[in-house]
Amino acid sequence: MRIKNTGRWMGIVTALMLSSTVSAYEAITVSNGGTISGKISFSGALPANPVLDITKDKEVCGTSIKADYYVGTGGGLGNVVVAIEKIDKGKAYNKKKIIAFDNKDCMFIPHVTTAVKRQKLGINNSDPVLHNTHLYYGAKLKTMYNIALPLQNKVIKKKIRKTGVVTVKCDAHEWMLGYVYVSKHPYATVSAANGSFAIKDVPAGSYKIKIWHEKLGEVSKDVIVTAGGTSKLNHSFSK
Amino acid sequence: MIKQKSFLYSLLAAMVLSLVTGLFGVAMAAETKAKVKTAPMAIKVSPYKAKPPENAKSIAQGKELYKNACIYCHGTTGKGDGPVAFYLSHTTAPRPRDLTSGIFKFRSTGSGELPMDEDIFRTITIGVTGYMPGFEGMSTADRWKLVYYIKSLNSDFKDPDNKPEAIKMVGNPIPSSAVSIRRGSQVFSNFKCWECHGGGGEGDGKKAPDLKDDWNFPLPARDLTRLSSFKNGSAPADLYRSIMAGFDGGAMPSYADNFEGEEENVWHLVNYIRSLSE
Repeated sequence: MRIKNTGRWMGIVTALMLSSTVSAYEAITVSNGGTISGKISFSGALPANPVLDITKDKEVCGTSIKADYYVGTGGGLGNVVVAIEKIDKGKAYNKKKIIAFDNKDCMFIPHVTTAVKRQKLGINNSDPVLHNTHLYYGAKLKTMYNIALPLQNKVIKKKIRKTGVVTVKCDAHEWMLGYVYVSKHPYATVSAANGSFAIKDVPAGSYKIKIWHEKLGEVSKDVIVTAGGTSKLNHSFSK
Repeated sequence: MIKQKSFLYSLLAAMVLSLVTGLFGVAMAAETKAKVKTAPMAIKVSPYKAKPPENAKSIAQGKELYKNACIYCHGTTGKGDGPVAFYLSHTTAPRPRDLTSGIFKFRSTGSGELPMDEDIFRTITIGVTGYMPGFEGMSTADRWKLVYYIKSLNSDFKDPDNKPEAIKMVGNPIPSSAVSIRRGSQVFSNFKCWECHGGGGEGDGKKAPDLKDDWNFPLPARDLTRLSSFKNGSAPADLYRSIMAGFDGGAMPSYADNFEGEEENVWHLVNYIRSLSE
């Protein structure tokens, strides 16, 4: 009985060890890479953003803030993450780039951004009140880290170590909400307000593209990239 | 029938145990209060010398110890869902920690980092005031084996990328004085501790009421005028660690980056906070 238990235990340990071996992204020279570009749109009228319930620090935050969940012009939809799902080799990127992330007027700016794993967020507090930037990973929102921002205009630089959709909140102001999409590679972007996006210098090949919006969900699309070519990718969300 | 009977027995055992745990917590809180004024560092360094090797064997031994001492609250798989957990505060935090989550509240490392082995060892040894009993009665070697078993419950510990680094404890505790306490009060004000902990430190700041932990249980800001209730210890070094590292899984953020280069201010703040209970 005891031996059997130990055996099972060893099995678990081995499984855990195996699961922790992850494939790293390799930077190569991409000459004559292709581009994936297109437009993310919303069919019909954009849903109205709710007015957020401002419960404290009204002298700084104001009394009425509209949420920024739905942003778009001319039928386009902004703040949508467009990213290659899996790519092991591709263009180099600046590992030391600081991803700007501001707490301003009790909102996160930008609302949605991307980062490559292990790049740093440069978290700033533009407001004269205490904010804390609390990052969560996974669907169950587990703490990644939680940084105090008591001082105005002091930038705190902090590495991001998990991939996927990272949710950002402020315990001090429960309406504040932001997202960082973290990938192992630099082929991820956020659509502009008119819905347009472009992912450049992609090695020729076929890819799955993740298209994610915080409220409208996620779709996966196939795209084939040819050397020096431009592959069109459009997607229309609907309610 | 037999099944039902054994269930009743385990229910009874759980109730007795929760009662004992509760009494233990009260006794410990009283003891901590008595010690407050002279308390040096939370734990002596000497136990660390007898660290046994960390391998499959010691992890397996740790698991056996875990089955004896920890499953009642932390559950058979470490998810914090043991039978006694049911009796511990239904609606408020803290619940017994989910040890598989990789989120550790009491650390000497930066926010979001794994704890040092010593951090887990310390929590096992001194417990969590008012909640978890300390296991100082368990041999040093056994406590280390428990640490190893707990680490085996989350694969992040095996990733060299996640190797934690302790926040440096810069400067020694500054002896408390009227001047130091006054400076600490300035730090309390400038670094906006009062927004959650309240102007008088009573945990009644404007941001205190809606604070929650990662599991969505209300976890209000600590009343800083009750030193004996501090979950992570009340010695100056304990407070330094709490301020710098924050409490992952809860609302208390890490202040390490804000005090970088001016760690002296943390010691003044520590003196101020400790003065609130005098």
